[in-house]
Amino acid sequence: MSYKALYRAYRPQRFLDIAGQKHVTKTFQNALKNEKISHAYLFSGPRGTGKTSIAKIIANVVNCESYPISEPCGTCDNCLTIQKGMFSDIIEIDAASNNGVDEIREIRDKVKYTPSQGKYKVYIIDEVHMLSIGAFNALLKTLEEPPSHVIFILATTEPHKIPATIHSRCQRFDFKEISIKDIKTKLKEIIDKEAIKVTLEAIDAIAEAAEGGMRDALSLLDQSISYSDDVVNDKDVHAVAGTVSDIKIIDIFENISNSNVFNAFMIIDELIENGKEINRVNYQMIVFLKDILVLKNVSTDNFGKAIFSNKKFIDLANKLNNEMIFFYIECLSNSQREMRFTNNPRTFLELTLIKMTDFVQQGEAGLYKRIEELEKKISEGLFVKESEIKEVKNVVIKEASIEPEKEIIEEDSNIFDEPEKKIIVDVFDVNIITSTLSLAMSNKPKAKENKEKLSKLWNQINIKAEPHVFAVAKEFSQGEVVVASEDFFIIIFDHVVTVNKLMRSDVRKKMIKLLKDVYNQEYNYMALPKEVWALKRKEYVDQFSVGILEPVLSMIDYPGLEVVEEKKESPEIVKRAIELFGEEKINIK
Amino acid sequence: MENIHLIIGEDKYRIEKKLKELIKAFGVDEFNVVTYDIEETSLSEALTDAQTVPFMSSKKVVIIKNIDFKSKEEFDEESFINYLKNPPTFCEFIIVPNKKLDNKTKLIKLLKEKSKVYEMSNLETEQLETAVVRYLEKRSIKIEKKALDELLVRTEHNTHKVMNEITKFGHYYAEGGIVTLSDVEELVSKNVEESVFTLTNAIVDRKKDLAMDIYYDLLRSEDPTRLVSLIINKFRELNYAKNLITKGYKKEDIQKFFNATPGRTYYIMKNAKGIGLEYIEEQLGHLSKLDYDIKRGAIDKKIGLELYLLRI
Repeated sequence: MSYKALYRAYRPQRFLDIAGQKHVTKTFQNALKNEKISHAYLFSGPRGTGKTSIAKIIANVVNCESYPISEPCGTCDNCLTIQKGMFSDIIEIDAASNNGVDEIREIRDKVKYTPSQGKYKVYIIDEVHMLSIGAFNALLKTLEEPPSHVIFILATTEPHKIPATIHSRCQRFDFKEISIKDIKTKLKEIIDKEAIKVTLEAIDAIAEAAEGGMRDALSLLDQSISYSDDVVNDKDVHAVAGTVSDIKIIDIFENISNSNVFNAFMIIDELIENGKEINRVNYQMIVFLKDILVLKNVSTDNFGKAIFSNKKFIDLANKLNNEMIFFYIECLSNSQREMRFTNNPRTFLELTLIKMTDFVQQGEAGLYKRIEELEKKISEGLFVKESEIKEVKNVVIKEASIEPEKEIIEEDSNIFDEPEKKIIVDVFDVNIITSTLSLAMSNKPKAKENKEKLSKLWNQINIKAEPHVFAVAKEFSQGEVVVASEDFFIIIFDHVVTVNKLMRSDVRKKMIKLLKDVYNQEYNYMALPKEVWALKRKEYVDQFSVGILEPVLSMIDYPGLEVVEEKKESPEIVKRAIELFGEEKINIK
Repeated sequence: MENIHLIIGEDKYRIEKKLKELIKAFGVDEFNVVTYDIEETSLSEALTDAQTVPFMSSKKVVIIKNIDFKSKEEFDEESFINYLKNPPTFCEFIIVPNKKLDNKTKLIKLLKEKSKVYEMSNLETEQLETAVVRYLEKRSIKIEKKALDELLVRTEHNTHKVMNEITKFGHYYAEGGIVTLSDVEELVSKNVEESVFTLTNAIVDRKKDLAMDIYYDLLRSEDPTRLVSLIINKFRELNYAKNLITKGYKKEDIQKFFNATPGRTYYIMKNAKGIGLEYIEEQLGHLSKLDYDIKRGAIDKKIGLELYLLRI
């Protein structure tokens, strides 16, 4: 027996076999069971979502000898002939190649004859948007009042190309892309039946590459099977589909953000050796960056894509800011465009990689940083040296005494006021770490209980976060709580950038509010980089274990950590700061 | 007077229904019901037929469709007036114009005077809602308020579409049940215009989450380039609205200008007031650049629009 492609062998014969589209199948099952079939249907939806399959099943059911029923019996003579594809009353027309008026006229003429074998003549017109305008008009008259023994099922991927007059004469059903979950279920079902050895990662890769089309999924599975030696793994799938696995792309971007362009080149080299097309790699890099943007900006709960739960992916997303990603995308889009005009696309991709790496090192990213610093200085009024201010002050006052322009002096007098007192709060006070650790050491079960209390509702942080704190909350929830007391905990992160952000007073206020929403009580926290925590803990434990009951920790010294937070604030906030940190920890300079 | 009928109005579904009712009420066999489409045959032919004695029956029905009484070439006014003044008793003459009739002309005045007029104007929202609820009730199905609202939005308050769509629910809940919002979302075709409208509102409000949701949903059936141009149109609409407001137009005038529903006008005006001209210009700039980039192949169309939405 010759081999039959999987998607042909598993073309659904019953409504039950259809993947997804539960609403459509149920509607038809009931309509068929109650013999309430309309005379014209319009199915629209992307390819591989079951339009033709459902049309064929309907055609089968109405011509089954035991109609009205909800599923074809599959055993009567009619069903058997239909399965063989030899039933003369089911007429399938591909409008893409029969798009003229003449073909449609022919249908019009033949429609009046009663069916020869079954009860209904079913016309299935695929790709109906390809019909010419004349053909549509010819069809219109037939659709308006077809004989009672005729059913028209029109299928299309582009419903907007179909005239409104046709729309209004048909009952329309929109087919949705099949969800990744549904595709996976169906794939597993078939894999079990065929006893194919496939890894779970491979199934993920197939379902994602199929983009909602079951037929694509099955033919990809088919090809992967023939390609692989024994067990189909995700590498085989990527090889067949010509796609690059996300792991590789993550690697490339990690190298770029670490300014290691050489390693990135090596990966590209490897990909080319494996026969990937450069254009494709470039394209996937763009898609990948877009996914990062999606992760950073909107909630990803409803996405079935495996990448959104990938730890490395999330880390990378935390590292890059929106501005950088948009710059990367621009670079890659440019190279994508240029590639079409060259026979050496690889050069373009490599140049782009260098460009992106430069951006990290100095280029625009550096510029942004400098601008940020400047902005900070301006907002603090620190753009002139203090000594200069004094000089200016003297000069102006001298002049003022000569010329009586008092108003101006009064108006601007506040410039010359002594700079307001700055409160420098050491948010990374080691004493807090010490006291929290001591508390935990003194009552271990209680400390454990405190930690459990936190972890119990931890996932609520993401859920309860309002849109404007969503991004921060997401980052926050990625951290690991290492020690907790009744109303305070220390949380650690991989990246110092995250820590700096979360310790900023405005972010902190938001988070404390969010924590209150979640736990119904005030919680304060200290965020620390992972390495710092490991160091301090070791220091503490070392001292504790040799009998020092109140160990003293050294100051935190970590590159990039903004230890001091400067504020120019009103007394009210001083009060709050004292409330939060205790008087002894605040220096008013 | 008794046997000339005129069915007018915008509600095609109810016109069809009325027509069928009338034919049924006359109790004429199908050989004696003749329909003339004035776009294909001339009125005089229909009039001749109407004046011919019915075949093996005491009565006949002549239906005139797609007539607008405007182009004089289409029909001979004199013979038509004669017919109106002196119709044969054996013929039920039904006229279904395709456009609104011009009440000022003499001919129409005479026609309305001489015939039984059935006015089938569009149903009010409440009437439509009651109709839906009643239809479903007969099949022991209930519908959530939210689902009902969404259904009407998706069908543009068009009776024909509404009736077409609710038959699906009749099948889906063949054993009775409650139609929920998600059922409507799954079974009723989306109205692209309406979705793009909410999408634009989301853009103006900078609600990225919502915008992406709508975008992914639209992507299942629509081409991104088309969406771009639809969004551009919406922004232009806002621009118009802004100008109209500064010119002192009231809500009713603006509603008439856009030929929009009151709810929609509310949003147009709200958005137009909330944003500046510079903002509209900026967005139009982004969108036209995006359109240009897509068409010269500088960026993939799906990703291009997605990036625009992520940037709002």
